[in-house]
Amino acid sequence: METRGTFYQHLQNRGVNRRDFLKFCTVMAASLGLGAGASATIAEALETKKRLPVIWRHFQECTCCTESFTRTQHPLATDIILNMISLDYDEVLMAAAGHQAEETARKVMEENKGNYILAVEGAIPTNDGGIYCCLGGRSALDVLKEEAKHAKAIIAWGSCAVNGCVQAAHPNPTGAVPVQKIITDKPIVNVPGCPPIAEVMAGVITHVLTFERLPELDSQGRPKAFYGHRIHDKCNRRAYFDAGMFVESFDDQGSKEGWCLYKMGCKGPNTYNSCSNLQWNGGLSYPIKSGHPCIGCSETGFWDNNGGQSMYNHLSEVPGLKIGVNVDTFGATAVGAAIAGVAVHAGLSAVTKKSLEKKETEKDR
Amino acid sequence: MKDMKNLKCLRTVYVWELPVRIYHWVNALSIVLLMITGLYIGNPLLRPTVVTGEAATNFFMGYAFMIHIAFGYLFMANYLFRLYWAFVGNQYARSHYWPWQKAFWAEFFDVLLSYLFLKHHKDEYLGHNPVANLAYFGFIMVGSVFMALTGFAMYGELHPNGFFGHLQFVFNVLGPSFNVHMLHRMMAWGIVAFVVTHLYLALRHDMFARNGTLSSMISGYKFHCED
Repeated sequence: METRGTFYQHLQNRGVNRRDFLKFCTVMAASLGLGAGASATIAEALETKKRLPVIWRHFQECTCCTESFTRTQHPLATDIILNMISLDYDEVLMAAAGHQAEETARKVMEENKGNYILAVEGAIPTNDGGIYCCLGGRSALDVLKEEAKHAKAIIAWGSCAVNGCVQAAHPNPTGAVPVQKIITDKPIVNVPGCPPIAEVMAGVITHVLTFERLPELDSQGRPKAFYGHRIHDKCNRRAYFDAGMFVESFDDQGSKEGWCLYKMGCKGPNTYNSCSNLQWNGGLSYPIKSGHPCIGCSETGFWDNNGGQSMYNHLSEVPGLKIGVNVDTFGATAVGAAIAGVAVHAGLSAVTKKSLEKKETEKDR
Repeated sequence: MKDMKNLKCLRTVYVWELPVRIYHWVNALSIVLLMITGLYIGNPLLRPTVVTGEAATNFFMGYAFMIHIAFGYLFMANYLFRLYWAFVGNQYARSHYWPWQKAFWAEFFDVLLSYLFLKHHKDEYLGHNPVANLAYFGFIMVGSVFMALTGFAMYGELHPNGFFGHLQFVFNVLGPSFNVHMLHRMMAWGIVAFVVTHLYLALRHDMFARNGTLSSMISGYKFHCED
């Protein structure tokens, strides 16, 4: 990967024709929500700019982000996206291994100081000196700190790298933290999801390459283009929510009719992602469309919600109580206690008042 | 010890000015409607025309949201108005001691002990007594702000880059949206518990002090009683 030609040259070498190339540019422009002229800008960028060197690190994770990414279904699929950038190091996808691979990473870093993108998948364990995730004899913490130092920007792929995901869930034995807790002096694009949608990942890379800057981010560092709306607001079952027609159990009539899954614990109203518009597997479907409530996998702390029992309940239980008590049960009990207290107090008031009055009448005599 | 039999209520005192009374009843209406719609939104128990219903003809959740948000706005506007009136209203329109002042607690325990039948209280307060004051401070003054912040932050989730998107800090402070929903609901139940106690004590004062506590919330006048 010494020669860094443009993306288009690279594609031509691989036998991709111009028609397919332009189709890809158009789809990318559309999915990024850019204007009509943008596909030409993207095409121009991909024709003229050198491929972007990327070091893709895998830390404490399950690799589902890469699995998702390699399944991007746009006109020019897998290998094209992978070649749009100059992916110089990626444990999952590269053939090299051992010292040879680590040497490549070091070389890329030194040759492209301040110019490469560091893509990180997975959380970073910090307990006991970070020994719970080691690559080539070094801890993930070390590797991240070193490679982030000279990176132009960092892309945090998936919920692990963005908010810690399951590794950081209670009780978090390895002290796993997301990238943004460790690196604070570099621009970071957070692309949460477990995994993120393939087209979202492709879109983020295309944006960075085309405009040579990071996409517009929201307050949590997520690209607004893909994380600007809740799943709920573009849900195909939304009409049933507004109507008040809810699935009550997975085998009832409402479930067969495709009613709203809110009462089955759907986290669509709390979750920002593109599942309900871009959908998965090339726009085929997404969890709610398939009849399962959204679990909110792109939201911080989704494993710990409701003490880790949130997937199928919508109302949280009250934390800190040993027995699981739903917030409504808790609240109604508190109100019940208030009513009981009031009743007792009223009784006592009546008794004391009687005795006071008795005393007074005795005094009067 | 007051002579309860021969209580002479000579003087009428204008305690609750009209704006305070309007605030009170608007607040009461808002709380009732917000609680009913809020309960439904979090846990929609109604099953409209099960099986045969059409999404096009039902709008239960939609109306619940509409009422909840409309009265949320009213609740907040009403609160801000009341805050303003604390500055320009009569002496009963504001607290003279705050929970972080020593003087507050001295009187507080005096009244608390009388509520617990441990001490006979010498005077009936014309405005709020310190125990009532603490409850209003916690449930109404701070509680309303808490409900408004969490409520409007959740409303802002619809359009995170819009006006209420500026309340995103709520999620950074109180935890993810799921948690904020729970806290909003917990506080709502807390307010219901407050309402129960409030109604009881209003009745009790009306019966025991015989100074027109209940009707004062309509007329504004209380009786100042002398032995």
